Amino acid sequence: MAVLPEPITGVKKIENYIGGEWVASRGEVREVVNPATGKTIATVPLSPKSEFDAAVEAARGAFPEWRRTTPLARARMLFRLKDLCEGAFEDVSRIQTQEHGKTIDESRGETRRGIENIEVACGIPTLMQGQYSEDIASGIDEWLIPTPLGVFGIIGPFNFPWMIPLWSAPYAVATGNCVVIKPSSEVPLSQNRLAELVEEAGFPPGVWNVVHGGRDVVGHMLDHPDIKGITFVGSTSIGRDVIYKRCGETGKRVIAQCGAKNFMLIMPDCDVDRTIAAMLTSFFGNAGQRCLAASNCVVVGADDRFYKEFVRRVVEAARNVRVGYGLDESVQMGPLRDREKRDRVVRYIESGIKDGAKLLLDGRSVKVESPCRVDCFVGPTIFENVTPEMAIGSEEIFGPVMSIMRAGSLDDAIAVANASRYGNGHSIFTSNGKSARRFQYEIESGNVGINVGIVAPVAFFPFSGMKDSFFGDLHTQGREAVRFFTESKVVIQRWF
Amino acid sequence: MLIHTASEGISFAKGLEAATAQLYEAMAERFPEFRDRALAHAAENRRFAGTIQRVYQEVITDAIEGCYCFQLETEDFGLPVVDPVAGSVHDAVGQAVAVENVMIDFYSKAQKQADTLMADIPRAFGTILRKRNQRLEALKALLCPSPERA
Repeated sequence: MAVLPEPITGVKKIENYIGGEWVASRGEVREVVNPATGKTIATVPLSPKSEFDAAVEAARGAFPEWRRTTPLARARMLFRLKDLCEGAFEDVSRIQTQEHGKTIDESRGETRRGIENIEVACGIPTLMQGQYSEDIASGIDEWLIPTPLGVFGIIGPFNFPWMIPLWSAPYAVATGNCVVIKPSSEVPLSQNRLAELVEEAGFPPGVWNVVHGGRDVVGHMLDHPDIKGITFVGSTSIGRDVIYKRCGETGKRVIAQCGAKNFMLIMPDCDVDRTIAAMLTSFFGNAGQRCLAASNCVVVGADDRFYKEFVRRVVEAARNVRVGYGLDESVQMGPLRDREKRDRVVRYIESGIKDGAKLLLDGRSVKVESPCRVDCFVGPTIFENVTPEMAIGSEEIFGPVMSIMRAGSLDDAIAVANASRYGNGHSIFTSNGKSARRFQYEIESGNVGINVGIVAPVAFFPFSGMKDSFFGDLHTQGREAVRFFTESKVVIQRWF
Repeated sequence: MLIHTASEGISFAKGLEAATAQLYEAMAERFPEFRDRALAHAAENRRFAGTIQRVYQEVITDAIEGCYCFQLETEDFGLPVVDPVAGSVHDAVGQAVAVENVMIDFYSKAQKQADTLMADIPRAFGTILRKRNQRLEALKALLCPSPERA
């Protein structure tokens, strides 16, 4: 199969989108490198405070009129945006592969997931309806009006450059707020393409703004008095110690979706063929750079024969995963996002060996074909005899590394998973309903999979998370996002 | 070459549809008596390709095993080498029958394997398969006219 054409040719100069205008930044710039080919595809600015302030000012200025725009009219604008996204589907998908490295199937899946949030937000006329009670006391009525708050900040991560800001932004603007999005400076192109579509859809200037940058922009966002709330997806250390903490100090609403160490429990009664396909996707998809990627595989039961045969088949399947440039349609796994991330994963592999785990499949020496450069690639890697005390068994690796453990019983396996400080997306593979229910009931995980390897909630369900995987109360997506982006105004009325 | 990913499978299906559409268009040009039917088949092939693309884009998501869904050997579905403008219209219909048999074989296998890609893709493949079977029967009937028609 041929490599699909790249939509980004040459080196694109990334600009900010502020108040409906494309504005060149005065900040210093960094290169954006395609991790598969090593080619520079863009330069992104690290915007100074003044440019972030200008975006907030534009958003604040747009808010009163946008708030007065009827929910139906706002929904129509979102319908237009959805339509434009469908038209640009292939373009935006290939951009994601170019800037992030994921396979084209994964990019298209991400595009679809993002669009689904716009679709759900199109239902805002009913999603945003209030409540009414007649005669709460004699002759007195009471009702609740969900009202927008003003300007929200959205901080995107590097692993889903298109989709994750769309977990928040459509709901924010649908409810009458304005947004300032700060994409990851490692993958800024997708959000600029989205902003172009927003502009084409006819959103008023200032409703949707994009400011590129690094930690400084995040700091300004946290401190800015006109930012009413922030949604963040990233590491636990930043999410908990910086975002959540500072939002508490400055009185901002916050959703901080953070790190993970997901467990996949394998029962001996599972459908082995289907389970292995799901495992490959979950452990190695997106090169393991998902907060919902499985990381620890716990094979349950004392049946050595099942264990050995199952592990043999998993290793064999993983060995055959085709690694390379994601725009090659035959490729099943792309690179890590950059050299530093690759080196970090390699360090974890070395620590696993040092700690005494048995390396069954070593991805460090993976071979890739032209036009790929090997710098950012690690192939599927599998350890067995891993314990929860080892770094590879307890810390978030964010790479294509599977750590296999054994547990004598389902209860033991659940206990091991629940001992983790994370609780994002644990799953079980079984054909036994009783085991599945017990797992669902006992497991401490915001998203729970039963014969599903990647427990990604669809747009009309909240993207949940527990323990050190989530900080906040309400979640992104669906009705909870609508609640997050609205204040409950309660009116009590009596006429004399 | 073995196809594994959804993207490859969909591209391959679209490629087959495009190739067979071109074949019918060439036949239409050469054989006026076959023109309407051949052009209808070509147009339907292009609609099939559009349907496959649309359905794939509507369901592709990271919740499914998109990179591990097929085990299809492309060499099993090589279209017969045909010269659509050589010989008689009877020969052309015979060639069309051979092509349709390959397409039916492809969609039969692809439909079964696409089971992991949510209901929509196997359903689309199944619909195309049904229509192609109907088409095949109609083409075969042209090759063997009934005694009444003869």
